Amino acid sequence: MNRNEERAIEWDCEQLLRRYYNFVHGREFSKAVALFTPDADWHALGVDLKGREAILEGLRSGFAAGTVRHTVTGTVVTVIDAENAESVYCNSVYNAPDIRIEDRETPIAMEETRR
Amino acid sequence: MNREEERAIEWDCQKTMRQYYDYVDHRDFDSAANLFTEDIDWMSHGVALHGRKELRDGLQAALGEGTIRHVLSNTVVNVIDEDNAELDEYHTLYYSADQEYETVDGPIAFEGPHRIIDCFAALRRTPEGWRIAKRRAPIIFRHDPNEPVRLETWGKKEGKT
Repeated sequence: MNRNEERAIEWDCEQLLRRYYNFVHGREFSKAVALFTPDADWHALGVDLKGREAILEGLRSGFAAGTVRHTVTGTVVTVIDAENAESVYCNSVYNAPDIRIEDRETPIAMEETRR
Repeated sequence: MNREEERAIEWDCQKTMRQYYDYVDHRDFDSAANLFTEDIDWMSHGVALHGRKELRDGLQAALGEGTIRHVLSNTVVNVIDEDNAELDEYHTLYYSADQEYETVDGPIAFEGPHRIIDCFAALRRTPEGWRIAKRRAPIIFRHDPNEPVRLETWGKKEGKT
């Protein structure tokens, strides 16, 4: 694989990761889950989830009732081969689990969030 | 359009947005305004601006004093066709209304982000290159919702809200 092909994979994987979080933030959980493989292996905050259905349930219970923004920075994608890649990145999370931004006329105060 | 052509548009559009905020953060408002289409439709903080001149005036009034840094993240570009694209991203803003970094002895003290903004932009290919034709930027999280920022104060005074 040449560097141009690697770079294309890096960019596509970054876009996929960002798109996932944007779907979660818009509470489009079905679209978010469709970005995982059917046998996805998910681990975060001490929670293990296996497969799309379990992830969908986890996302709904975690984020359906509130407002969250994961700001993704520092992403590095490492291409393994033409069909596999790995990534690392940093998430800064702003989360108001009981407040839906659509229900208010003003922004959510930072002190109302759990970072 | 093949994936390679789409990818090139995605790259160019996100670079245009990054360039815009670099200009804004360094108070180069003429260069910033030139990254918009002549008929730009701009809305942020409840302030509506139309056209490059109005936009430039708004940027000068809002950010001509003080120091701001827009930290961009989560940029996703959706290509519509070879001349049109849409972009979503977040801005984490660090802001001091009263201090300019050039005149402060040392870094400006801060207590965390001033606000988190969802940004939507429509971009159009022009003879000048990719330009921002529409921008919407609602604030989602805000450190102190009761503290007005200059853009809001200026927008109310000028009847732009």
